[in-house]
Amino acid sequence: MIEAPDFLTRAYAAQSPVVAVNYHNTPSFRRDQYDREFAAIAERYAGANEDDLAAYLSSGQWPGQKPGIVLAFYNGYRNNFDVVRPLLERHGLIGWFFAATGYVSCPPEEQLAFGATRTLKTIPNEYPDGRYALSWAELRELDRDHVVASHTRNHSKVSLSDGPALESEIIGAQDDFERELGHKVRSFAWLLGGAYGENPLADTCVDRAGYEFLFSNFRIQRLRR
Amino acid sequence: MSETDYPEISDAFVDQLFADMKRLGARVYPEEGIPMFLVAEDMSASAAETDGRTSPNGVLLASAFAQIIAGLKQRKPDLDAGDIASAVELLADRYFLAFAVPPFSQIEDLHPAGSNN
Repeated sequence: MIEAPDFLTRAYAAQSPVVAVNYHNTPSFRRDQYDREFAAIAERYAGANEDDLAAYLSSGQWPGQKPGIVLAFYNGYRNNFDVVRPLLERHGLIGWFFAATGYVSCPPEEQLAFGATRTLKTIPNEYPDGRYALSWAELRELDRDHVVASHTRNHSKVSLSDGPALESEIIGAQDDFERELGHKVRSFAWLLGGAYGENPLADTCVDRAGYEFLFSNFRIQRLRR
Repeated sequence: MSETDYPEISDAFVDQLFADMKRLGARVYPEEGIPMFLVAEDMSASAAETDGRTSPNGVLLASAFAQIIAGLKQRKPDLDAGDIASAVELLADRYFLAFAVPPFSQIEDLHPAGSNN
């Protein structure tokens, strides 16, 4: 569902929207571009984690002097760790790494085939060893100073009436994070960005999984817990 | 604020909207950072806590968005989902860096804490 312009206009006026910059692959040949972008962003914004976001959503105020920003990296690409993580840390920014857990768990020799059927684009010949996805070890490292979040298990479009598939993509992904990180993650983003309240079956799964924040195309929702 | 508050929008303004949307649509989405504005919605709060809330910066942004929508509708009265998404992307691209600048009187480099009222 797409939000009507009038809804967006009213919502922006009620509370300044959260600023996000959405990335996917971050190939090394664009390193200088990302570096310049992060420098410009860091002049004006502060890195924000989930506690900062919760504070902003509840009070309308970011905790620090500068407003917070969500720098989101979708799908779980290895080049996010290799290229972007050092740049973020140099500029004092926080990345939000939305990973598809099935991609992370996929054996390297199967990752290209896995991605080809799930709109997971890769940079040709970027990694000769065949591993294009983040590893769980890398996600555990990112989990220390950045935000690790869920972007489904398989990055597949599933029917919103298919209960078992929804359960696997929403709850199964959370199970994977809990097993590998030792804790649940707090944020979830749909493949195609549906908001909470649009589909009761999906909402039930989101609730059962225990996610606190739902990212959709035009909204960040902090859910009742 | 709604798009009907902008009855007279110039053709040049609308031309620029479509030109900017075309330019932004040509970005390499899988590799480039795409700025977005996301509605902040706290469903954990009671309505009493959030009703009536307004944000000065947000009001300006809402006005700019309504103007963009009004401009697009001049040329394409029935906007579809893709048009709305493009409009939000355009809004974010134009304003997300400038949007973070604090009010003049609160810029710390110009007015260190305690130096003025």
